[in-house]
Amino acid sequence: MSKQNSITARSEPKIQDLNTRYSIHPAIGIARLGNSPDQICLTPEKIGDLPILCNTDGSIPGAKEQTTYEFKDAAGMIKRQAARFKVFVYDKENPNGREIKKGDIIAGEGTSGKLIDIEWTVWLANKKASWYQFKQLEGEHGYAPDHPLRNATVTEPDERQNLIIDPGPQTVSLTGLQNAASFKKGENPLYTQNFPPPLQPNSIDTLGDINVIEENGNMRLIVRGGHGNSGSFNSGPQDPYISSYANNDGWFDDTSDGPVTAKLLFVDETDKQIRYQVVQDPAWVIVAYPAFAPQIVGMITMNDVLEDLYIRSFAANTYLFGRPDTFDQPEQVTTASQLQLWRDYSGKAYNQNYYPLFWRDIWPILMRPYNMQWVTQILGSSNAAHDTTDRGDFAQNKVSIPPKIGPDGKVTEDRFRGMREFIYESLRKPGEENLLYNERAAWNLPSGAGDDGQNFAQFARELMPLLAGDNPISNNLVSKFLRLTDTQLFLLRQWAVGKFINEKLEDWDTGDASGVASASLLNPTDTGLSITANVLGNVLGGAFCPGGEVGWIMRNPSIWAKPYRIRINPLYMPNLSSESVSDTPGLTREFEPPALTQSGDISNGLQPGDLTKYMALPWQADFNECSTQIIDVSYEQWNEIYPNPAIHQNFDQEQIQMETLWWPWHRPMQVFYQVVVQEGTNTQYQYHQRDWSLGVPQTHAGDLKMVTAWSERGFVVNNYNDPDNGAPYVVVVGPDDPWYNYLLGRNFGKLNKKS
Amino acid sequence: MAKRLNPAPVNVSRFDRVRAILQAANADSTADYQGLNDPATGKFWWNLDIEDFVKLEIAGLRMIAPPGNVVVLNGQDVVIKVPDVADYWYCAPTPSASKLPSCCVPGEDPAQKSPGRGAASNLIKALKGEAPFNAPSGHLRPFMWGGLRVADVDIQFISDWIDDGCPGTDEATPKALNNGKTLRLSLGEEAHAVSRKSSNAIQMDRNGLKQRKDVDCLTDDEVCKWRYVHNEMIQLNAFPMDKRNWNFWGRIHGDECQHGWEQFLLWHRMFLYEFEQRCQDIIADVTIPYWNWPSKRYLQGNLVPPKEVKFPKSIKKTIPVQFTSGVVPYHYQCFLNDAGAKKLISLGMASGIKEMVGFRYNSDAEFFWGTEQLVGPLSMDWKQKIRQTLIEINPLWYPFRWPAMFYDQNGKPLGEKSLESTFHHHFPTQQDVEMILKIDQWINFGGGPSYDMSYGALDMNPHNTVHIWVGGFNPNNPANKVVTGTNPPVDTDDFPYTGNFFATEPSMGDMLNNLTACYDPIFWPHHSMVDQIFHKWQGLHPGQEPFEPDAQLSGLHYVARDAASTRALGYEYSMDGYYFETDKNIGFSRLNTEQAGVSEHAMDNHSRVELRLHRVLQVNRSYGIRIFINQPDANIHTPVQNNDHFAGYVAFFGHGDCIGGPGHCDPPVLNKRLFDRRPMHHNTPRDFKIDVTETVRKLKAKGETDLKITVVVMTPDRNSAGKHLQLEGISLKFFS
Repeated sequence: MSKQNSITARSEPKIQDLNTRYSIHPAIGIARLGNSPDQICLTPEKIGDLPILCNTDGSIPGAKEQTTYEFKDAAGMIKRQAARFKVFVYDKENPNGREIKKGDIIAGEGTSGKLIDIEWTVWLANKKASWYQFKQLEGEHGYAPDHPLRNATVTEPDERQNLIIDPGPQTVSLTGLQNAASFKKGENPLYTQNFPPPLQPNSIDTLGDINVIEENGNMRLIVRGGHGNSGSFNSGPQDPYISSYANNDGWFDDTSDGPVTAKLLFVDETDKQIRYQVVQDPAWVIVAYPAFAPQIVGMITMNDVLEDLYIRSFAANTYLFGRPDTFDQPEQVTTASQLQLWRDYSGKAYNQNYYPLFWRDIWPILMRPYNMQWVTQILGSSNAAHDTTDRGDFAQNKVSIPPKIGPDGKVTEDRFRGMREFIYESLRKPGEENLLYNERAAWNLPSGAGDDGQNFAQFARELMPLLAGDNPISNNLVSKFLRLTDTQLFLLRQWAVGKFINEKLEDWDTGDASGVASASLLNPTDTGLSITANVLGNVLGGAFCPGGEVGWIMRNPSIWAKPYRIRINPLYMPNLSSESVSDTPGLTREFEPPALTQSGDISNGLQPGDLTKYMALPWQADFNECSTQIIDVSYEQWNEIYPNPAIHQNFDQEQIQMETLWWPWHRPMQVFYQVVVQEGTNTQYQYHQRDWSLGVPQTHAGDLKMVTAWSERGFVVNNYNDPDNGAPYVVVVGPDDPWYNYLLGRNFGKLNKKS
Repeated sequence: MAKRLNPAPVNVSRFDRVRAILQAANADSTADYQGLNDPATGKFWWNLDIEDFVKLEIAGLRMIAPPGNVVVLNGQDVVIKVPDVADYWYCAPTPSASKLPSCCVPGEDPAQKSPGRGAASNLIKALKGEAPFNAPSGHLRPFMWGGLRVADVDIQFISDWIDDGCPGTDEATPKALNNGKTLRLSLGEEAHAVSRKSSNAIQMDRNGLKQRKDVDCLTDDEVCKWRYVHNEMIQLNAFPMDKRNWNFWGRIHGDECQHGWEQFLLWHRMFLYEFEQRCQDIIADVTIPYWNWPSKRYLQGNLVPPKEVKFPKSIKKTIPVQFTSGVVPYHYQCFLNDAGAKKLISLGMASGIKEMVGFRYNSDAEFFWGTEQLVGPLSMDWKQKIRQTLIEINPLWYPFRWPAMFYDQNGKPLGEKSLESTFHHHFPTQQDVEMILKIDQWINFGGGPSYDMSYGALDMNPHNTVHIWVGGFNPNNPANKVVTGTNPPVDTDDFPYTGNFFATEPSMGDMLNNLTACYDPIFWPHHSMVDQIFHKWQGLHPGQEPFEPDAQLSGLHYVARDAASTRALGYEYSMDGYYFETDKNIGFSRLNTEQAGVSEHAMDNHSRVELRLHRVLQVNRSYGIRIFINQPDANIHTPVQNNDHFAGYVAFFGHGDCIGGPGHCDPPVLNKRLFDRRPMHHNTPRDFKIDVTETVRKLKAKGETDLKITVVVMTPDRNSAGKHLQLEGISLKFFS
């Protein structure tokens, strides 16, 4: 653009390309707690990856982004993981999205101009103490009128308002009033905050902070959460005291969540005034516990859960799931009324002609169970279950081979169909959530299922995955075991029957076909969406009892404005309505939101704190107890047996129980530590599997211990330096751990490789 | 990077060039296309034979769309589906036929052109990168996998080749083929070939009425489609609550059918209309054929029964008398084909049943009798299996149909005397129909109103009689006292086509009773014939209307007046038709057609022949048209007096010089926009209908058996020819 007098050289205002869209990615950001006062790293933006190394303001040191093993600072305190947000533009030139840069021409409404700044607004809150008690699945479809509240003894409405931790909203930008702001007590003079009284063992005076950075013209938001402080205001002789895995009156923690909105500031070409363009797709941030085994991908991730929801309820991939008569020409469902019609059509189904791509869609599911053995010892004791090497029932070089077809479309060769069917048949299907054993009679596996004559059918007894479900505890809404999502099961079904494509065999440029999902099933080429999908790929996708970072509320279609976009209650969002977008900054209406409320109609949109309030309070209690679970499988519809005293003995005898795991990839059970073994003069480094949280029992007392002990735990990482030692994943504890330095490449000589 | 192949080498077929384009774009890719390719051994799917190539599937998607007719609806190309019937046995109507009907062997015939077939083919979509071969929404990669993208011009070349029917061999480019052809066509020096498209598909192209044809005039393609829609509905019987299934219609009829008063004809017209719409949901260009009972073959077969029914030669036993009558339409008979015999043998049937292949029977009683001579007595279980197999081969056939099988009190078959001695009726003749058509009062023809209920003539005699005659009595039911086997009937509550329903031996055929009649597929051509007579009568007796036009038709959401006109319901009756498509962009001064290939049935049984000029373009100049039949050298000087070949004359009233701006008189698009309710454009092309019955009668009397048309265009001074005639086609329509 040439510099010309603004009056004589008024250029014609550009008409906005109505298809231009600005979106924040990730759409759901994850920040993680840490007790380090100022050191941080960035939340991984790839699934199954280490955090990103960064400076204390979230900027990247050096020219290239790199991941880090440095989970802890020099004092051994866990670094907080910050969520990083970027704004993407989608238009004709960038159908797959591109991060915007300073100087980009921004398409405003009826005008356009160069981007100079982004104004971000974030509002974190924690509503756990004011919300209903968590009682497994009760409430997922609305709470009963008599559902108990947490802190039910606090009855006066205004007093209950004090149970919400609400630091108020904060706005940051590069050129505005502040480029950094805190959700700390006393640091929001324009807003009347609410923080809990002094707590034991740890008080809470902040939910985190935010700042903006500029890197090579990209303007990004960094959001940090709390420090992992949890405590109770009860002051009895036995306090602090934990009595439940999910509901503890008097307690607070500093997890949180809330909306992230942004406005683009640009210089109007016509009159050189600074104007706003709203970023149409705002985001949300969730603050949760640290990811202690970040490279081990969960059996079901939050992204799996959400993709399944969007595909089946939001017409997000109408070629994969939709009206069967439209698969030739997949429907474009864009408007609300189209979506309503689509939802009302009852004959929707998965496309039987959908050929999943093995490396993109199938292998990322199949590879997960094998890696569970590095965080729990249960698998190690069975015979090569889920083994992906040549000898195993999940052998990668066998299950990846599709059948060959002849010119008539009929299969001419399918050597590994038996292996595929064995895996698929072993999976727990819809309706089998309360079954332990595979009771399907329709087993018709060819004998000699594997190419080499193995018949796996004899091993398949328990339905898979053999993990605890959403409610293996009470008799209300029983859901004992976890199962894969409908979409995952469909993809695996297609694979099992041989309808899949091996991209490598077809000479496709697959990029990184490491088996880690890197693309969204909704739109694999969307660069922004892939960040969102990957970030959520590291979030727990079940079981939700109440779950990990966030729980079953995510499965509720009504909280979503569209895929991945939480419907934000407009009262708690700075003016993003179109009437204000072309207003000059400073002349816009003030952002004067009302206080957060204790209840809320989901259909109006969510308020800050409305996602994490469904989770355990404090988080450490559930985190500690979500280890193993005794599940009673005596009767399909009952978890708890109430034996009549007269026949008590018989009941006892007939009771069948199964101990199973919750989610060891987030809450490690047994992990490999490096130990030094001295044999004569020979020093050997071996790996022994032992408890990750030794000394923290899975009791309420242990829960209390975990309130502080979490920060002393080690992180499980890929032992890529020593690949042949039988323990690909080892635990590192802290800076004084020699193994820690070894992994970082420091003191390499000090740790002799195994002889 | 799109790669453009070098200019086509000469003397290479288009298919070879398609292969070369794909091979070049494959470059050094190692893609194995699910085992179809093996670059190491030089195996590539595009080198398959043409027969395999056109049926190829990759990732479950058929690469070349089946041939179909493409129509333009609301500006969008829509392919009218032709069933992909390669898997259906009934594609081989006569098992011994060496040549399957055209719809079964896509691409075999280069003349079968389907505009839009290329664009609808997944191969073209894959080359272009259209859904589902556009990674994001459709998720498959565009072709060539691991290789290069094909240039647009080359994709167009392949698409055109598919449009032209995927010819496996040809030496010249399409341009060369047309060299001078347009000119020769416009002067009548080259004749137009009869179209292979279905008449209904052609009519749909023009928003014209569909034709319900005589069931004995259906082409192989039309029979194929008609069977296909039956099979689709019968398959849905597995879902009893699904109103799209076959049994749904049977129940509606059983519960709601109106007869014995004036709603008989009206109710059934709308009932047939609804059923036909349902059929057209499956294949858009099918219509319900009619069974013209008084045609020669039925009269010969029933009034004067032939004394033989064909059985394998090895059967020496005398053929029972009841098998010597009761001819139903050819396409509604049962027959065994090789695949069916193979299936039964694989189930354990003795291989002797193979001898039954190829013979056609009016009922399973005949089939069972013949089979038992070959393999011994059949158990009920075997009978059910055979019945199921025969339905799979021909879904128009129905087991509980024993035409003309009636017995006296002692179980003795009445044979040819059935109708006279049992019901005092005789099989309907053309004379019966003519007499009914002469009735001039609605109440006598169609029946009386609700306050004076009485049967109409059509209802009473031919309709009821044929119902009873077709249904007949089951010779294998003990109550009929003629049972020969040892199998007692089995009670069942199942609907037809489900469970072990066909493992029973009911006493009577389904057509015999109102409650069950509509389960038998022959119900539809029977009632189509009734409606055909009604349609004809309406034309002969204008102004005759039902007494209660606003009365509701029970079970249907129509009132009586809705049934007033078949045309308003989108169809007319024409026993047979022959279309010659013409290029509307050519101005003709003379137009010739090849022989229409008129069937013997149409020549023998028609009452009227009409020649139609379709969608004649309105031009400025007035001009005249003369039509000659079987005189291909006719010109403007050919006499019209005392010339048996002269068939008619049309004066075309020209529109005059255009008074408007550019485009004012351009012909309008045929399909108006959905909500465009303005009246017709002044230059909308119209049809001309010319009655040529008399000419055809004269030519037939001279011994001519086939017809060809010559149209001569002349200016009003009648001394010169002018290329004024622009139209979309010519047809010959035969009416019962």
